[in-house]
Amino acid sequence: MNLTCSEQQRTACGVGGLYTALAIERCLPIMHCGPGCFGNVSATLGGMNGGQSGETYLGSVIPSTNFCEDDVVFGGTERLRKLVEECKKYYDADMFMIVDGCTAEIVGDDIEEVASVCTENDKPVLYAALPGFKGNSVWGHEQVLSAIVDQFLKPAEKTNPRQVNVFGIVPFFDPMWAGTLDALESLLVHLGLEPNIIYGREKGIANVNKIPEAAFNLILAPWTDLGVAERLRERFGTPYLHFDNMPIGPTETARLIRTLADYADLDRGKAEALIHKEEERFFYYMRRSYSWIFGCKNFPRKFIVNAGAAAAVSVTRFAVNDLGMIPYRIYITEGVPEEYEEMVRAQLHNIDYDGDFEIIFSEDGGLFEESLKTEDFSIRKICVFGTAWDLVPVKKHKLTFVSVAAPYGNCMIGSRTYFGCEGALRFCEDLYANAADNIVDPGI
Amino acid sequence: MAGKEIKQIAIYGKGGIGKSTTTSNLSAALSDMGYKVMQFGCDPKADSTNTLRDGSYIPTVLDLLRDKGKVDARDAIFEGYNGIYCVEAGGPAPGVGCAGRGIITAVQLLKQQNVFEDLELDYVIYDVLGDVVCGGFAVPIREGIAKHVFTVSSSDFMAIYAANNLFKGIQKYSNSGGALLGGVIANSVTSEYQRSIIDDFVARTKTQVMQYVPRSITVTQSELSGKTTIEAAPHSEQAKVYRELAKRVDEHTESVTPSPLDAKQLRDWAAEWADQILAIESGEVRTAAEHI
Repeated sequence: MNLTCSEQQRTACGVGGLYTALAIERCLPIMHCGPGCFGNVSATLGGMNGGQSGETYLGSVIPSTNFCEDDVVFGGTERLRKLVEECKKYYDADMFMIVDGCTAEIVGDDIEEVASVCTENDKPVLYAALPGFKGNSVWGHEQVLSAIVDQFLKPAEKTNPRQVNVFGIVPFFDPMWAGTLDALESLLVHLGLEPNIIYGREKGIANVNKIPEAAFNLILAPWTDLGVAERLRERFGTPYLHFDNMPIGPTETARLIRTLADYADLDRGKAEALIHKEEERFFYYMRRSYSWIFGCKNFPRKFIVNAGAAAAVSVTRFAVNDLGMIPYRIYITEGVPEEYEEMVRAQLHNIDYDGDFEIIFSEDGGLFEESLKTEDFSIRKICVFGTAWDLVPVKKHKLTFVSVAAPYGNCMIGSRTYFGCEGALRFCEDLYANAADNIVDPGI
Repeated sequence: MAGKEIKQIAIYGKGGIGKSTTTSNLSAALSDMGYKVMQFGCDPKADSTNTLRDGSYIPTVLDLLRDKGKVDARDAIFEGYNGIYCVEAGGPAPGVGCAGRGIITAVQLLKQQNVFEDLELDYVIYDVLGDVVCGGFAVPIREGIAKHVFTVSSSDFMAIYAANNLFKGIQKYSNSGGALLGGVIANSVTSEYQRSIIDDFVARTKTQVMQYVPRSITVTQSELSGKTTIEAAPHSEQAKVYRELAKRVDEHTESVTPSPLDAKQLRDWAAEWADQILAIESGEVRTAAEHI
């Protein structure tokens, strides 16, 4: 555990895990937390994260017991039970997820008992303890998923040989999760698979129920959800395929398609045709701008990433393998568990570049800004792939910047994604437009 | 004109060791000496002041807080034997909530409403549950509330462990204006070796014994009638012991920072005594030189 002071957190506290429940349509998180807890987590994962909220339930209607001093002294489970019963009357939901925070966990409130008492056949009430002193929102995400696996799912009567469950992405912590999953779903369908995604538009509890039927689970991330995949293997015998990133650009997209084709014994001709089609489209649009891109001799070749491992691996692979850029330093900020650090380090080095570069695991995203006090990028400019936290220092030092992780920024993110070849074009549009702004500096 | 100084003391000790009995008799004896006394029970069981009120329970500060939300602290004060003001902090039902936070809430409520000053008290005596298991139970010894701490302990090792833990708590807060240790009230001391164990412990931790209180059937009889020994058997030998304790507490002015034993020291010390007790109970004769 990192016990040093942290200046810029790019995660929310454990309660932020409720955003994973919010990403599942008609799943209502019920908070057994202090009055300010939702405000704290929504600052990182909601409004300032591309103007996002839940879709079935907006952030402004998430119920909470607003745990106060009386609850600390006498215990708050009775009020929680009443709140859950009222929620069942007034909210149209398929699933309720009780989440509690630090104070309720410190005083030992038994939310499991409340969930058990309040559960009815068609109204499952689950629970996830999410105290911030145990972990951050990425940890909280895994707690919520584990709650679903352990408390809700039942073994399937049959396995669907074409169904693949998609895990690894952490909704909202990956600000482009919704657009990415839409695009990924299309790709998997095109390959002949039946993707089962539980987050986002028109998914919800029906898809959650189908999880045990899958032929395999696909984990598209450096390390997140590997624990959940293991748990699903233990409970339902479902194997999993771990692909270490959500691909951006032609190289990784092609690798994902071929990996899937090999693993699931898919039609190889169809897979190669899809790769060809995606590459053709990508390079068509890139070629149209090559003279403009390469005409700019001052475009920075080196880059810094200041984000979670998922964004870092995806962006680094694309920037190096497809754009020919060079990693300078990579800050991994979501508190990767120690047992995964070496694996993530190896993933970052698994690129078409043999040179050395720094990888720093620290939950303090402020280390980058601190480094600008001693490192001068005024001549040899550098690109920064980070979060809205980095906006002030990059503007001050006129560095090229692309936001790739939460908090994404004060804007509307819509269906934006950097996934695949189409997403890679969006990335290039953002990257080169920002670079041009900084390098040309029209002075107006 | 500045108000008179209120002498605030806290009595700690392992659960069941006789804290409430000792505290109530101390309150009663101080009251008999002419002082205005408040006894403040800091135990969710809320039974500290029973024997000052003929065995009856009183509504606790936290009961009132739970029912009304906002509480006039005076509603939680009830008069007992000889006009002693009785207050019980109260707390949650067993197994839920946080009793430590309950004590913080109750103590702060009375402090904020200047109750002690308004009643022109001479003594406030806090009777605090058990070991110093969390910050809530340390409230009376921090934040400048109590000035002197006394711990009730028998020669039982578990009671001494609890006392040693309390000493650690006092030591921790001693540099930030917290209460200091007045001494140990040795309870249920009926044999010479029990007295020796406590004497040895206080010597090693650099404190003192305030009084040796023997086990007595008079105390049991008094409590069964819902009274303190001071009230039920004022001329008994046991009442005399409590009056002497009250006199010493009243004369006590300088408390100190104790020197608690660390885990290994305490274990070694207990093992050494266990060995000696075994020898005593098995009738083994040791020379003075062998007797450490």
